Amino acid sequence: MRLICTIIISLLSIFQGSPVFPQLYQTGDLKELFTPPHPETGFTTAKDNRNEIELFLSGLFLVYKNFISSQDGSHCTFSPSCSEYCVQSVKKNGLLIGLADSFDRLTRCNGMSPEKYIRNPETGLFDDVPEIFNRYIYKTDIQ
Amino acid sequence: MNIYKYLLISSLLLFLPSCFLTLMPSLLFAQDLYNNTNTLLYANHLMRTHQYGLAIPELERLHFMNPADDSVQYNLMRAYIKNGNPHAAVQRIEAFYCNIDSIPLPMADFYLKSLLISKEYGKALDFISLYGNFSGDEKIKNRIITCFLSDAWKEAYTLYDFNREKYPSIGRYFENVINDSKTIIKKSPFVAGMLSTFIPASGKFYTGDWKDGLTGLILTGGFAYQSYRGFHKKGASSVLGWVFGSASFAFYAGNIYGSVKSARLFNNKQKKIIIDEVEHTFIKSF
Amino acid sequence: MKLNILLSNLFNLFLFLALSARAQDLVSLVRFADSRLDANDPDEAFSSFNRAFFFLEVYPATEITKSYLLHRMGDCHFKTGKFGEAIRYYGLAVKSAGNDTVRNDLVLMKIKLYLLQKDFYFALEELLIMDTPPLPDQRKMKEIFSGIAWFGLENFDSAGAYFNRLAETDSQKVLLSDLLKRLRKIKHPNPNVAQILSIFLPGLGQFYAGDLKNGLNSLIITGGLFALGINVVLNYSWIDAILAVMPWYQRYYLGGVQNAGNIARYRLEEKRSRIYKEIMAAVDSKKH
Repeated sequence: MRLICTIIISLLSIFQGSPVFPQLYQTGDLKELFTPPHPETGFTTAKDNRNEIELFLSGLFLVYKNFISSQDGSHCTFSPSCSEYCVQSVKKNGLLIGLADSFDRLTRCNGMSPEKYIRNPETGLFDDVPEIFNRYIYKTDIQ
Repeated sequence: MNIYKYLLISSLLLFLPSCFLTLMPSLLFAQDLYNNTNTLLYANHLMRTHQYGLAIPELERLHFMNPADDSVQYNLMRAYIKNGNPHAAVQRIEAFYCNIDSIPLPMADFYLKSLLISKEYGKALDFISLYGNFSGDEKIKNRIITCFLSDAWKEAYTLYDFNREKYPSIGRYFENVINDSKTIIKKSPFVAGMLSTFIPASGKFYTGDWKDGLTGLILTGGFAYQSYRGFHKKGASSVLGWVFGSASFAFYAGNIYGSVKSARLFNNKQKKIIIDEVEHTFIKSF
Repeated sequence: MKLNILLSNLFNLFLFLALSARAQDLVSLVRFADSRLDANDPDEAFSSFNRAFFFLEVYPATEITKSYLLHRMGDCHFKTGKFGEAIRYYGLAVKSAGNDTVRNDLVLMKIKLYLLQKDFYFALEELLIMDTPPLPDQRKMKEIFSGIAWFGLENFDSAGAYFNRLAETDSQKVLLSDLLKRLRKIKHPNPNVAQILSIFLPGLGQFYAGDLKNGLNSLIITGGLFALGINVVLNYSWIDAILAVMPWYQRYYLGGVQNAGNIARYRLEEKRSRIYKEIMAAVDSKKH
């Protein structure tokens, strides 16, 4: 009897059970499904300032983003937005060239040349990141 | 005693066949999924179905089991390059051979291509000049490709003109690319900047971004007009005049910068077309 | 008796030998992959399952089915967060599933992933095609998912009907019907009303929706621009005001109207999601 029992138990232990879905019968991950996303407040662009000009500009940027830009309904065609672009370009190119770059960006922000840029599928906006000016000459280390 | 005897015989009858049944199949059809044959089978399947990321560990295992097999090494390099990891291919080839200048010719091809894809042009030029097994025209051909990719086009032209007579194959290879590269249109950033300085936004018309140029013209002109109205009415103390005047100037300056940038980007795009052509005809065709 | 014990131990020894001789066979590979998935290493698990899936055709094994491997590969993608891929693999597993229980589990898993991706129409399509599962647990999940899908499509009456069916005891019935009544009543910051209010006075719609900060902000900006416009009219001329200030004024005026609607919509969503969480808690508490 004992022999037969051990044989049966040994054989049974080889076969697997039917597939189990522990994650199917838990509803925990569905609980936050309809919670609306929190509006953006922390702007990484305004961080890491190296001098007073950048600090001042970042302060202006934060005031603009929180109190002025938040009150109009429209959106920039590009990502990052024109104000973020301005702060980033000044940080990369210095005040004068950075500002000139930003005003050029404002004129380009007309949405009439979608063929020139690549649309980011996540944000639905066109990617256009400021570069250091000399980088626009073709170099072997950039695409 | 009788009972024990009976039990013994019956147990043996049950025991022996069951042992046979359990042990024999595994001995007859031992399915070691990680042995040489099976790994090769699976690796070939993965390469055929373009699952290069999964193929790499299989090929590495195969290479470990028989390091002398050339085809495994070639497949491994192919998997690394196709998986978008040419640096790893370079490192692996350097690890396979202690003297890189005398590796077999097909492997040298892989090595050079990996170097070019991972943009290590200096190393590639060194390798081309030191490697012994390239024939004369192959050496020149590889050097011209490297020069094109590393933006040293003038050197490529000189090499081409110098060797065209000596090696007819060079002429055949590069005729199209050389002709295409000589006919690309270039826009001078200096001209674009100067144009925008004298007539606002005209530089952008010159480089082909006429929509941006038009926007720039409207913004600069509109703000300038408003500034003019302000100054006209109140003289130099007009607040509106100063505000719109500086806005207009900012857009004007931005436009000069933008025109230079636009010309540079235009040239980059033209160069990129030729470099893509070189990459597609000479590197990506394996 | 001693002999019997000896024999049984001998048999076990042979069984062990038989198994260890095939140490790197298909079954042990799948076991290994299972253990990697349990240890939260989905990449390693996926490559092992993929390997097993390839060798299943070379060495057919009765214990391992195609469906099982596909479903486990789907699990790997689920763990790495690639829901689209997971849905694809579950769909393939459904086609070769051995029995109805497994098939229904797989379909329900697919529906759950559609819900997590907020593809409510796809989820609903699967739910409407699916037969009523025989197991009570699966039936319950189907009702819950139907409720969530209709909730996501903002059809709260249909959602309520499904959620109501989940009540088992009397107290839960009362609780759920109370929650659903509250859900149907949520109409308060009406986006249209908020927009119309903001048309009359900038910021009023935001106040109505209960957002003081944005209301004040909008009021100050549009008020300031309005004052600037008047100033320009008095100091310069009408045309200057229209040219210089009007574009900015309309930008923030219309933006404020749009924002009032958005804020009201956000508040509505917030309230509904709070009730939704309570419904899910009520549904969950009686389950396990």
